Amino acid sequence: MSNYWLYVIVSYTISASILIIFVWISYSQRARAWQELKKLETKTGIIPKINKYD
Amino acid sequence: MNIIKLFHQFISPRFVYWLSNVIIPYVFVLALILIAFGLYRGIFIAPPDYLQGDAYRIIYIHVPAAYLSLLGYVILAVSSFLGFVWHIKIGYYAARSVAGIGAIFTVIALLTGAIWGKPMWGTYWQWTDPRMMSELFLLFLYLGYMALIVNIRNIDQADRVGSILAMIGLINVPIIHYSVEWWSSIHQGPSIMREGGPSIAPEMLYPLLTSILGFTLLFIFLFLYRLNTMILLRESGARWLKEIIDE
Repeated sequence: MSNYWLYVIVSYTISASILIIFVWISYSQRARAWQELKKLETKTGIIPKINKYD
Repeated sequence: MNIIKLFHQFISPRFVYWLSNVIIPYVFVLALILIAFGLYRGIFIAPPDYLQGDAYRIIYIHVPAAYLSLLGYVILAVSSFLGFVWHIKIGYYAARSVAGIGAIFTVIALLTGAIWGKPMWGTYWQWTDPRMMSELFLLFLYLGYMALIVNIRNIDQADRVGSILAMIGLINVPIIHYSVEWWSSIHQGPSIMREGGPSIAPEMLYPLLTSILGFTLLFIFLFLYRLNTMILLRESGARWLKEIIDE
């Protein structure tokens, strides 16, 4: 195994980590948005506009 | 008249929300299958390059990431245009949704390119190289857009100002693409979309095309998923959404 493989392994490890973290962030943002909508509706019976996105 | 009505229905947040919910799982599964197949063929089955040895295998992540970084910006600019010029709400939502994805793929393209550069060029980074610098500038455009829209308190104003930056920044996309032809660069020229056909051997090319298709589907999945979230947040006062929550 040439030492070029080290560069290949590092590249794929970093890329996969970044993508997995990003998918996780997207998932939790959606879950949080959904939860917030549910909570607001239960409390007031109406859904106010939520003007935020982080 | 009916076509215009149909178009308006097609771009309504309600329809986009419904459509994206339906296709998201299929796109995700197909993306994973194609990525797994493409990377397996590229990393383990394709022969080593006669000049670069096994280092060239970084191509199977670097090229899709670089292409998607550009595609992301084109979508950002076109969506911004739709929102800014024709006041199409979903345009602004799409622009906000795609910016983060484009930035992530730009980071991956820059990192994998730098790691690939070390064994091939003897350096991780070359500050005078037009391809590297224009790609880095693309990352700054994404970051600038995102910083702008979260820091302007009035959300409609944030959308409009962000759109102007997104549209102006589009000029950088052809610069990135043609930088290796216009100026002297240590980065290689195009090897797939070039006159006379691809210069890569078929046993290396097919896994690359599979990988590009797989990552494009992953991009579409992320885009629809985040657009879905954006619709939830921005349309949170809408009656149709209340009906969905009540179900």
